[in-house]
Amino acid sequence: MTDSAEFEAFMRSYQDMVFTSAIRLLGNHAEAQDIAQEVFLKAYARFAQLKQSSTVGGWLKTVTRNLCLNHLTRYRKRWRVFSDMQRENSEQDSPAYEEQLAAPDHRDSDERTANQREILERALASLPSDQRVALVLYHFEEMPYQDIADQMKHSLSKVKTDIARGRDTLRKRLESRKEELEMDQ
Amino acid sequence: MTANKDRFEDPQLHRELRAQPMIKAPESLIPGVLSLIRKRQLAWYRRPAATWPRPLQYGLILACLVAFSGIAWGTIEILPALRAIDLRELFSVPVTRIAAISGTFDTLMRVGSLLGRTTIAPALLIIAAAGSLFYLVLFGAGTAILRSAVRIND
Repeated sequence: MTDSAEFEAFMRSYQDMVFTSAIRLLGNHAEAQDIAQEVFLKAYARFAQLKQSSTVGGWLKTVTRNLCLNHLTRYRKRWRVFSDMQRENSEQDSPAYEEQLAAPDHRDSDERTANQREILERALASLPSDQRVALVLYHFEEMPYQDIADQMKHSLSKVKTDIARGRDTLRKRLESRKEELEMDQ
Repeated sequence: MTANKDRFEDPQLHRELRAQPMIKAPESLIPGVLSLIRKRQLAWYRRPAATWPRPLQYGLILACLVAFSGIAWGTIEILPALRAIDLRELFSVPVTRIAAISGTFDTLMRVGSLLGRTTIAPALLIIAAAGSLFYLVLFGAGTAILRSAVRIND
């Protein structure tokens, strides 16, 4: 297998994992794709070491997380004023990201479970940025509060509040969507 | 980190979130990465300056600074010399005398060169200075407005 073919196979194995981490943190399809590209370019630069490493998954996750957090602090803040205005306007309809979000690649035999999972993913995506990032780092990356506060450069109390609020919002949205679904059926 | 799973508040939600399947990456991700790799493998002079090696980027910035300083210095040196030229005297010279001295072609060249130095060069300089000033004012004002908006939003 040539180096290029080997790297392509490597990307195929990890692309979903990297993209999932990025899209959950960023909440934006296009930005998540850009970050995933950057992660794989970094991986290509040290592919010789990575292909022999047993911790390659962890390395990719850490790089993805760091790039996403850098992106959020460096670029997103500048445009938050405008994007918040956009979000407020579009909240009544359907948020743009939720429409862009690719359906999870589920092969569940149980359609109901699959629906619930999709609802959860969409509810997560619709959370405000700070709440979503803190919640993703806490529940998906299993990071302690203090580490999240350090990574996000926020106070510990803000992180705890964001996670609690995010969780409340998530629960409420899940319940209301589930009720809607039950009424439809 | 996984050792203290019990610490998670709301274990049910935690379980549900952890059970979420991965989201499928877009089909264009791999071709995009491969094409970027191919582009980066090109010789540096065939790639955009932003992707050049750092020393070459610094060299380019230095070269631009030297060229700009040279133009600025040259302009400053030429301006006093241009002011010293008496236009009325030049245009009052009779054609026959000019022809006798250096020929019509030479005169036209001198007039063209003089016009270039006295009118065109200062005009270009003024346009460039005004354009730069206008850009700086717009850029500065734009940044200040954006920063204050972000501060208010925080």
